[in-house]
Amino acid sequence: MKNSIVRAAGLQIRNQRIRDAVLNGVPKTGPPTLRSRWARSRYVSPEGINEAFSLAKEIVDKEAANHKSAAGEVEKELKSATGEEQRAELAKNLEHHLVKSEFHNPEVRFNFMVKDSVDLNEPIYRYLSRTEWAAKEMLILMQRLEQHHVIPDTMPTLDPRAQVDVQFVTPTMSSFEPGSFLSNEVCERRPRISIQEFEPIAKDSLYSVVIVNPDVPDLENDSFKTLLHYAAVNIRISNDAPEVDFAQATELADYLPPHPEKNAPAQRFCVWVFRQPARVEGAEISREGFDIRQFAGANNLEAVGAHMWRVRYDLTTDFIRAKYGLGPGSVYFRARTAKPEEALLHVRHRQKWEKFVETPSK
Amino acid sequence: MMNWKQGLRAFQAVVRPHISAAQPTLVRAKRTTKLAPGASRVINMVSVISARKKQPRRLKMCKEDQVRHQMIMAAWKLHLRDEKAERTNKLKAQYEKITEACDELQKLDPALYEAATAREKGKRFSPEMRIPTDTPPRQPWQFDWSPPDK
Repeated sequence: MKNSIVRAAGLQIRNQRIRDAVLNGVPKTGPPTLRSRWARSRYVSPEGINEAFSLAKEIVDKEAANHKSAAGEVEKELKSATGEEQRAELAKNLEHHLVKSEFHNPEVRFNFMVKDSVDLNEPIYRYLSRTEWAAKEMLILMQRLEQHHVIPDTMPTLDPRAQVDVQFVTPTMSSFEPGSFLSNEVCERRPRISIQEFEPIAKDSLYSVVIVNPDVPDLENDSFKTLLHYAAVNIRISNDAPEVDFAQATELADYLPPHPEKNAPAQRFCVWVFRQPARVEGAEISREGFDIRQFAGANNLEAVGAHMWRVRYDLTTDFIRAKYGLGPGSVYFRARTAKPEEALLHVRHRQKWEKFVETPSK
Repeated sequence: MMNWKQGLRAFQAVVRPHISAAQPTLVRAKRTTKLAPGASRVINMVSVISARKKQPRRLKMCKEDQVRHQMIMAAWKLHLRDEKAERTNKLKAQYEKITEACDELQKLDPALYEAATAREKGKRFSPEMRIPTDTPPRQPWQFDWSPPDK
């Protein structure tokens, strides 16, 4: 019974001493995961854990063997199945049995606990990662998207299936929570984006990333309009390679740094990630008045993930505007005058801007 | 009624009689003197009703043992699930057998079937049954008891 189930070699714990301790009990020298010799010598395992473990292993292995044989049968069925719906159903069933066959594997649990040799090609690691993400980060993301009305201001809704992580090039390279306020200087250059898929996808599946700002003041209509800040299509993503390689992708619009206006409300920068059914041919798109729904509909794109950050006019905005030649911008006032154009461009702001451009700061 | 300060002094007077009520200082060092009579009882009572005692102590385990513990708990759940499934299946099989036997009886002798499956209206669990208690009653069994006439 003990050797009835053969575990995949890729799921084993890499460190042999830790592996022995997990499978056969903590040795007399103490648990190898404890760092100091003092702690190792003091450690006492709970009473009876080794006896209980060997009994438990029989039950768990039996369960795993059942699921493994079920998975084998489903796989055979999948090979002979022809209908599209039937195949999808069988694939889902197969994934379920594959997850369940390693669900109680102590080695997998240990690897996932210490985040070591977690191979996202394995169904069990995808399941555990998704569960962890869905318990916290996904909830925060959806709350922010709804709270800040990214849904439905940009796209109608989102069924979150991929974990999108955005990192700007800063000394710490830390990722941020969706909806955070960032400084203009921080989001000056294109961020690093990773798209972690939890469903089994083909190697080098195609994805698109679009960053839009729906909060550009539209004076003529007394409203706001959308500006496209970045668009890239044909990004290659695999389950185990979530980092976006922009060099391989087709950029439809290069990165335009955020440049909010003085006294205008905070601007939302919405990152949308789409799955592509096929390659999208690059075509010129205009940034102003960009319609993301029309773009997604025309290219048959399916939204799977999103992220967002917010930017206000701050000390670094003028520096960014001067560096990238984005003009002085406008200054807005609470009171409306008969001649809005005159009031918009504050005289003192204009004078300061001219001085700033003449002698740019280091 | 005592206020809380008076209560504290009274408590200290029991626990630490060598400290006078006029000088309520805490002793932080290890206790060297013997406790006053009754003091250990008071301490016991107080510690039993404290919040810490109401939940079991958290197991402090290394990562290896955490994983092993998780697997044991999972196996226990599986075991309970299997046991429950086994019991359910057994009861289901028994019920099916009863139904089968009754059907057979109905075919053979309808009158006997009617008698066997007649609903016993008003038949209930004895209301005179003693209410279960933690300790036995003073008189364990009433030998000359008879049911009241209907």
